[in-house]
Amino acid sequence: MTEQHPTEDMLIDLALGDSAEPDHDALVEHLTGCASCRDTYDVAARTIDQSLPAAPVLQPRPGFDQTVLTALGITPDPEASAAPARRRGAHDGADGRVRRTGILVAAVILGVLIGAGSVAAWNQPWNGHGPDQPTASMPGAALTTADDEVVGMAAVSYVGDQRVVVVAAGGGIEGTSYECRLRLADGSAVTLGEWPVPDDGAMWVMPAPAAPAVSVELVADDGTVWSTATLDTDS
Amino acid sequence: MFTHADRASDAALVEGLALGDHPAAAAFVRRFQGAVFGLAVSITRDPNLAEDVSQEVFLRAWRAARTYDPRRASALTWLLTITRNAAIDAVRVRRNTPTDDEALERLIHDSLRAPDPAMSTLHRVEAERAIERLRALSPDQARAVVLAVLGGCTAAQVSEYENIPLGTAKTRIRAGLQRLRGLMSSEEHHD
Repeated sequence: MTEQHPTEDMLIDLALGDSAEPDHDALVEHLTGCASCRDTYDVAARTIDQSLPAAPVLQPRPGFDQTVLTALGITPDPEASAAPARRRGAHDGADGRVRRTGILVAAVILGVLIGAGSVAAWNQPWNGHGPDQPTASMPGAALTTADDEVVGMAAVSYVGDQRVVVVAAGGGIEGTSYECRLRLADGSAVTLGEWPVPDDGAMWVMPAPAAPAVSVELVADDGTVWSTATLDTDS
Repeated sequence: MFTHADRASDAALVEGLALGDHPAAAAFVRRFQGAVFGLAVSITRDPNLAEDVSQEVFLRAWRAARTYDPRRASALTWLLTITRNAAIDAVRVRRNTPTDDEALERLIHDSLRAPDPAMSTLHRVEAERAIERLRALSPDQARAVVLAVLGGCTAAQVSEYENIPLGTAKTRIRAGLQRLRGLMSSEEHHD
């Protein structure tokens, strides 16, 4: 007597997680002993898996990463975390004048860009060359740290019909990359880019979603929000 | 095209996660949290539940990190597979998913448009390929596949939402997946 094989639809249902008891257990048991059905199932499962990157990307609330790391019990090595702190201290001390100069330069560049139009490169530090001229829709907002120190500016602008966020900042910690997040009015956040912030300042122009935005955050490697710019409510 | 270095970079973070290395684990979570949370929201249609699911995903990934094989799947696909399973588990426990027509229409629309330009190169390439394959389907098949695969809808829910017989919903899903498989085979030949 030959064994009854499940239909392809039943195997697809299983791969999609759409098979209920008692069919589910019977199908799983069948697959353990039937190479042909197992192949059909594997092909369906692989096709499903490789379609998943098409799902929309959505940032969770700020601090989610820290919550996860705490839940995993993965904490910073105290010696490792002391090193950046010492660098930051030195940075703010002897080199403070240089850093402030860099921030000032970045802020002036942003001011020029917003006020008169200028040139910019997409998603990389401003280099003075580029095909497009952002046109500001709002004044720049100061990027400030938790200590109320201004480290740059951010603004919503347009390049043609493309809405963009322009960020000018300086004084980042050497070796640290900063994730630029646009916080939207509905509470969600969108990652616009990730880059180091050079001591002497730089500028980035990044495509942005059309949804109303409330702030721009630069988040350090360790998940802490290094600086925030609160945008105009019309953004 | 993505480079092997990109994939190796993701795999190195998975290794770091397995070892409990804080900088690697933090970078891993930050690199993938948007993709994980996005898919979790697509399936649960509930941001609070999606956040719980996303935490569970990273916990499962941490436990399974030592068994991750980059030759079998990219870190993104591996993690999203965990996400889909965890989200469907969570919805099943809750026994009801909000039938938010607007959310499902938005999911279909967003899943068939160009990926976020701010994504990393490797992840954007993976997303672009997945989206291009979905776009190659007939509109009816694409809708059914997006609802079933990315929305976590059962065939019965696809049938109800699309106002078509259950058999038609299953046919569209099956034919759509077969077409996707054919497109994936073509890509593998070209690679």
